[in-house]
Amino acid sequence: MTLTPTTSPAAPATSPEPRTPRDPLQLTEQELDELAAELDAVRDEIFSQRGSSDARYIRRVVALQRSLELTGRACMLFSRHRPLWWTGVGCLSVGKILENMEIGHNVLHGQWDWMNDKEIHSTTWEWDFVAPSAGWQRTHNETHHTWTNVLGKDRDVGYNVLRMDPAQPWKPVNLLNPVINLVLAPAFEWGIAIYDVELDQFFAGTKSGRATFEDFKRVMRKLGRQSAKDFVVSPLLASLTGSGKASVKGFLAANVIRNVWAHAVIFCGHFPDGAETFTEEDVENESRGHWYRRQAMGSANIDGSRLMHFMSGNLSFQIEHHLFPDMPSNRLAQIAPRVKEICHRYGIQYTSGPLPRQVFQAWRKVVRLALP
Amino acid sequence: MGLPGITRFLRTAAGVLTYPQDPRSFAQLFGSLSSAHYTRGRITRVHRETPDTVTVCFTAGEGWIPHRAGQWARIGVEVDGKRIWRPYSLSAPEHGDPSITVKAQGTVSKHLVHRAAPGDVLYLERPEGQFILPEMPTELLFMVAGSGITPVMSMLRTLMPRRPDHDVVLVYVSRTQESCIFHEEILELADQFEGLRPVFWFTEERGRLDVADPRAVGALCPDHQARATYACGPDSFVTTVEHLGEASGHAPVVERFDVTRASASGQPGEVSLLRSGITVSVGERDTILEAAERAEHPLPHGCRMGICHSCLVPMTDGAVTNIRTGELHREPGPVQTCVTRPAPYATFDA
Repeated sequence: MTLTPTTSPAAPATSPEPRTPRDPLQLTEQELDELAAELDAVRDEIFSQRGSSDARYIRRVVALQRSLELTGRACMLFSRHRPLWWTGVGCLSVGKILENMEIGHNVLHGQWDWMNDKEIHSTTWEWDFVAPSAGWQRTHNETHHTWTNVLGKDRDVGYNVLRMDPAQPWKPVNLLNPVINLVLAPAFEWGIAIYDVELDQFFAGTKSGRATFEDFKRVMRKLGRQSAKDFVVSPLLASLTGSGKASVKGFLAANVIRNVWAHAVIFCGHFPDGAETFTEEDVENESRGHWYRRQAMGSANIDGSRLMHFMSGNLSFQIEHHLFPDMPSNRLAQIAPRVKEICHRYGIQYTSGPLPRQVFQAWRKVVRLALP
Repeated sequence: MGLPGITRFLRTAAGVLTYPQDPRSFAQLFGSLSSAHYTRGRITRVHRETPDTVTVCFTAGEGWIPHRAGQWARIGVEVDGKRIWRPYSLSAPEHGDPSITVKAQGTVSKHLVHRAAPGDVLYLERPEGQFILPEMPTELLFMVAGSGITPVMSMLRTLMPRRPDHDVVLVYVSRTQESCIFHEEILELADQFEGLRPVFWFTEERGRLDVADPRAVGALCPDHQARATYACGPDSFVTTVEHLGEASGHAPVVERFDVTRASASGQPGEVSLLRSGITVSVGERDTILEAAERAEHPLPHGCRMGICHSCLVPMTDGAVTNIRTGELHREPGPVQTCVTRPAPYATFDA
């Protein structure tokens, strides 16, 4: 073992002494095993602590979200009146954001499965988002989280429509990168729904026509019900008070606000400067230590207030989330300092920055990679 | 269209607006007990019976069916954030709000005895069980030990007011009078109804009651061989009463309270896949997923390292051990097959 005393796993919390930065790609197998052991220990510690305060947390968030949604929908019935329109849009936007991010995304990861409660469980949850839960769990939990940032494997690197890494070959259509992203942001939920049908895989011949058609049907069914709810039935009810038109605008506004916010947060997860990509050869015979290193190197956090973390579904702790995808989101803030310290000791870059800077860097990448 | 029909119609209509959530999820905000996934109940009263036993009375919401005296129901309780299910005999009489009587032994029971409070929500499955009274009971003998009294109490409370002329002997074994659940109430019932004759046996005073010996039982109930016998209590007690009954040609109706299944980890085990009707043996080093694949019966899976939850399959019975944490899971429900092993036996709906 060639570790200095301060890097001993037995005393990980001491402030690290300044020393020459290590190259994370030069870590030996043994060092990677030690990294895995340290991170496993963090995970095991938190998982053994999960209890009634965590359960209370998620139930309170769910109750808050439902209260906001009820209030928002009630306001929309009278949205002819300006103050009610604004209140309604506010409640619905926040409600949808919470539902998709702090609740939906995290429940669908199985972060709350340990409660053994079918009302908050990855196998039963259907979220208020056009993309059906089951298809998204496949493309996100399975493909994206297993193959994070591996070019050619992780379809989330550009979602098939954007060029997001210099190693992706340039095509003339990439000139439209900024335009596509500008359209994608307000239409994010529809973009993800289409993405989850995996048309690219159908055209590549790796997904059968039948499976593709079934997925397409499922998306269309859900799209129909989602649209009927917000843009047909609710406005019809609102029209009884002369608020029909105002409520259509209100629901549209709430959906767009949610989409723009979700798009911004999610683009901060892997696209800002410092988040690395990998090749398929990089991940051959990957050990758990390798895997942890790749997850940490390929992800980026967002710095901000507790409110910002809450509204981003704690995806602002993207590094921690990618190391431990099924760890309850309310615990990520707690482990972040320890993860940061461990990364630092192993020379693994812990990318993090305030929201405006991370959004700017993601957009800069979109624009820059439009050109060869 | 009856009331259930109207309710269903309104629910479907409201569901258009609450999609993809069930309207009942929103009704819960206002204290409703209905749920898309469960029958739920709410505790109305917690009554201490002995120093370590309480009766928990509750109202049951939509989906519950009234129990028959002597039946039990699986009850889900949240302990440290986790929903855990255990079967409990219903001690309340038929046609009333249900109640269970719980002695503080084991995680869930301890939680109920020490923590349960009015207003708490309980999760319920429908009452079941064949330990029930015959349509026209005549002369009865109840032989119970310890908390085995709970289903019998439901029977006595139901039977005695309905047919006061009945001839019922209750032989009730407990450690002391203090630990004897329902002692006072049984004496009161006996005062009120001549047909009930309770015989208490406190082992701390009189030693063990040898139920295998017909003379010992005969001393307490001379005509025990002529009576329809019901026995309830620990496995060993019930089995002895069974033998006694068989010797005299009357098989008693019985209910056991402590059937335990041995569990072991790191040892070869077995899983049954119900839908495909096959049983797969799981070697010492295999996960359930690997063993199923080896048996050419692939199960759904994703990352194969316990993170993506694509491999969840509902376990209906038995137990599994998580190979990463060493935790034992005995609750029926979805299980991550890629990181679990049977302990030593589990049944899956797959």
